[in-house]
Amino acid sequence: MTFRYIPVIGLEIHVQLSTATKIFCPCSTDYIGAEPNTNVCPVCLGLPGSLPVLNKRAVELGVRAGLALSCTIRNHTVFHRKNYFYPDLPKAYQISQYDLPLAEGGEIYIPGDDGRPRRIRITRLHLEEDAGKLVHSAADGRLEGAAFSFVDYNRGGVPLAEIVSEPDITSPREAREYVARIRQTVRYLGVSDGDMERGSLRVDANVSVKKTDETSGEVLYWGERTEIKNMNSLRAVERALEYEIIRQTGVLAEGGSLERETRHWNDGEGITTSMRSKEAANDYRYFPDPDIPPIVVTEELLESTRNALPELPWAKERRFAGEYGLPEADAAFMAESLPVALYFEECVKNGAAPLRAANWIRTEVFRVMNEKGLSMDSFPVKPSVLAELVALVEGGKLSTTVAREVFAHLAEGRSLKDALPAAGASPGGLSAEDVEKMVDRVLLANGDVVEEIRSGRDPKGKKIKFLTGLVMKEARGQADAAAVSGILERRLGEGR
Amino acid sequence: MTISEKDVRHVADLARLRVEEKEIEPLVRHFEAILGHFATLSRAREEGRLNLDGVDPFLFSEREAPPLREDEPVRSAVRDDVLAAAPERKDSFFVVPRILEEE
Amino acid sequence: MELFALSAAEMVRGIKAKDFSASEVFASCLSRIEALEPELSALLALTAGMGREEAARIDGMIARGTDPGPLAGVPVVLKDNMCLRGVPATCASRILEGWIPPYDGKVAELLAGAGAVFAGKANMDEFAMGSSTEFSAFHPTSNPWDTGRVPGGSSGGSAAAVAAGYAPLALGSDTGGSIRQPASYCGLYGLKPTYGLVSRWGLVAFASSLDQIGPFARTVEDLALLLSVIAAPDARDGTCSPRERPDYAAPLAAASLRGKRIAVVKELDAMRSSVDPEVLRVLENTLNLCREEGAEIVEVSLPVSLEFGLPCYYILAPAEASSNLARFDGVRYGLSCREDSLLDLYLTTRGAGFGAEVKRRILTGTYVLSSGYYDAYYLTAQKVRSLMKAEFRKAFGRCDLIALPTAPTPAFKKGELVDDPVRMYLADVFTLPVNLAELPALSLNGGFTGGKKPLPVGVQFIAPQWGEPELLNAAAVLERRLGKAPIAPLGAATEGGNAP
Ligand SMILES: [Zn+2]
Repeated sequence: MTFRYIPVIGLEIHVQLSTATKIFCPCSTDYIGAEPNTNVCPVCLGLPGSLPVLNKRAVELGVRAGLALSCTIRNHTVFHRKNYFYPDLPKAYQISQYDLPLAEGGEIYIPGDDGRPRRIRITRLHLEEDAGKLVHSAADGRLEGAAFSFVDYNRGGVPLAEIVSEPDITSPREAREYVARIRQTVRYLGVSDGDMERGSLRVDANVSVKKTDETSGEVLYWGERTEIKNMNSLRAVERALEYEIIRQTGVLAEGGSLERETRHWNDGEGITTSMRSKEAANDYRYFPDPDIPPIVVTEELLESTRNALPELPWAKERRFAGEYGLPEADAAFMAESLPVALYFEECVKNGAAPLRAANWIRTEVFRVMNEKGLSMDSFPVKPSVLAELVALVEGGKLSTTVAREVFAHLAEGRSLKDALPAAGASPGGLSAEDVEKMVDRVLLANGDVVEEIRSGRDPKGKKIKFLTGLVMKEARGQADAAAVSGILERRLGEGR
Repeated sequence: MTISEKDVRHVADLARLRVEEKEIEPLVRHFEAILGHFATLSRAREEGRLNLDGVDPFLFSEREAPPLREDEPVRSAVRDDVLAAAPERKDSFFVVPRILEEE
Repeated sequence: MELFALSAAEMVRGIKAKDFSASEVFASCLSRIEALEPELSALLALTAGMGREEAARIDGMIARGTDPGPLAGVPVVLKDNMCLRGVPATCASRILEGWIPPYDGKVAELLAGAGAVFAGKANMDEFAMGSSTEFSAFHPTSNPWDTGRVPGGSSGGSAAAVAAGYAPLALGSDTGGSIRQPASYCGLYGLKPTYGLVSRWGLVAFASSLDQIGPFARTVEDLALLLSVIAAPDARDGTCSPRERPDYAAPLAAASLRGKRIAVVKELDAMRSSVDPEVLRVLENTLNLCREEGAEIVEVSLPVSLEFGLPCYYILAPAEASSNLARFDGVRYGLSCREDSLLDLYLTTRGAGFGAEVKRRILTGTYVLSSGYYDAYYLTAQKVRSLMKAEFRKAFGRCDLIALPTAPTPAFKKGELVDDPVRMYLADVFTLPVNLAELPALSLNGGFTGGKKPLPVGVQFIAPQWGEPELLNAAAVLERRLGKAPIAPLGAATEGGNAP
């Protein structure tokens, strides 16, 4: 019998919600770079006598994300206390949701490994508070001996939505696609900035491997699952899972067994290491938080949120492919983020040919953005201007080479009127008459070549290409090469 | 209702309470008394004097809750006082015995 | 009559009429405290300096013709589990010894805004867990009527302070009877409001779904006055009702109890053997007065509440407490036993910081929430709680108020029950159903025991949700028959009231 080892992956994604204040107190959520323990109050420090009051916006954002992921939203939802001791948890319980989450039973589609769309089921989306931060060296980076850790509660109480998938993911690549899709969605929705490096989107993976009979497909053995933490980029998610699947498969193939444990992804070394095993598993003693009345999600809120949902990325991709005839990859690229999609559509609305516009955005716009570290919103070339430029190229009035030069000037902040002459281009392009004149001049100046061609000594058409090149040079690329060689052939034929 | 010393130790562990050896036995008896008292419920249910079938354990919905909080930041003034009175502090951090990152 | 012996309303009227000043009132109370505190130990902190300044400020306002508010210049004592910025709040626990709240609780804000003057923080059972104030980590408090006895608990310090004339008003908190039972033991009016009437912001939590702050006073007028000040919506407490609060002074004018149906509880009959005969006699007498005032006495049945309330309470309250008290971990505030490992920091701090009763309840609460037991204990108790609410709702279909003893006995002797916590829990049997059902209830002094050292005996009236006006109405009518609650016969000056 030959065996096949099939990975089973489920992901838990924690998304920091884009609220101005924390989930249960009015402290600012703007903790990046803030002095430790400045965005704190009696509530998020867990002072005796303080009480949590839920932030309305956090619920609204949770509902928005839940609806976008096709979840069912509960009309009564309850917060529970998850009790455990840790210094970053000031009340020694985390206010989270347990058996009555805000949203459940959703789905999202990703490009599967077989190229076809794959449905990943979303188990639930619930709201909870973030913990504070533990720092193991002093603020100046100095290790303060090995004796202490330091606690900063600025992040404590920042609202999180935890999105849990069913174990529908079957490869590291799919996992990466799934995370990318979730990240894209929450960004589209304005629910979170989804920044993995800064920790506003954090991924934990549950992965196991099942041993099957290659021929019958029968499952012979389910390996125990491990949870992987500390994957801080899409690439890390993919690499960590690749590593872990190989590790687990290796253990099973050698007849070994796996234990349920939490493992830490070490990005530098490219390995996962064991953090804690199941023996240490906590008993969280969940119970409904008596300080927080159940949240009523009204039909009204659901309706208004549903109506205010933006066109979601997958719908936009479909529309770009259908309406504008973009190839799938281009459609996905244009729909990747909301600002890019808006830019692209604005270009098209201003008369640019969709395919060419998409091409320009993918190449030139992104090149300049990356070089200059700009965002789409602050990009100096307005989409209407790019549309004009693209139209000039499309109309054969500007060669791609010159247009690129013009674009470089535009990106420096010049207007199109100034950029065209600066790149040596004629604002109106070249007329047919202009081209005829240039051909005349070239023929006149190259009488010997003309003679050779006319006497049939250019079987491979090399010489006519040479003449075409000369004309193009004179035209600074603003003429269409095929048109020029057409004119040349006609004129050379005339004199025979 | 039988409670073992092991139960008491386990619960003390969860609650992060150091319990002295001599406290264990009285705690076992206390647990038995409290939980034994509660067992009258089971008896009453068996005798049909107490029917909990279909009873909603959380009648939360009866409460009149104030509206949820608007998302408007307010800066709290307690920070300096709290840090000044912290058991142990380094700059503006609270200090705890070192925890390994993997812990 | 010395100023300290006046009612709060009399103080306000006198101060506003410039018959005497707030500073004189405060000085009078202060000397009363200084004279009796060695005997009673009712306080954990005396805020003499703060109070003097505040009284002087009130006098300044009066001189300028500004109204300082409805409690102008009235000294008030707060239970030590309430946050008053800058004044230690220990909850009578070693774990919070020396902790100074950096913020004001809602009731502190409201009192200050009404012109009240803080006189001190009152002793209590540690974290409000107890019925005798003997579980204070610092010292027990004596009952002003008999210093060999307990003042009740957990708000025993607040009750003793008002009964001894430290101040005409005090606040307590009531989770299972902690205002009403000490009010009964000390011969006072004590009111446990409907859950959600008074904000819990700044009240150190014991059991969040049961805790309510409420007033102690020696007259019904004072009780209503203090209630009017503290009963206010608060956006910082998600469990505090936004509803408009009625005028609590209005029901005081009621001429009689004509048209009111006051219910006795059928199940009390079967419990007679475990209730002190003096308590039953005082209840009987009070009901007779009600009848004479025109009330119709009816009977209701509360079988679930009286048989199962107690065991459910001792599951639910510890469960919530185990979680509420987890934050005392030695990291941010309070006692911190520094150790080399995090686990030892937790274990040593909490092991040394909590007293025996608090530990018992934390452990019980942890147990009933732990894996495998949640359904059997916590969830079952919650279901019984639901049944109790329904049972009371049904009962109030047939009556306006329910009368019960406040406690099964008058004040017991110090040390009598301290080693038998489960027997002490029985002191709450008539009060805790009210907390579980989120209802308001009032304890008034219905009379005294006979004998050489008469002890006050309370009677409890229970109303439907938001029925505080109904309670004040009945109390005001009965006050005309029973007299005001007296200052306990301690020290020199004891005047007024119905002292036996
Ligand atoms: Zn805060």
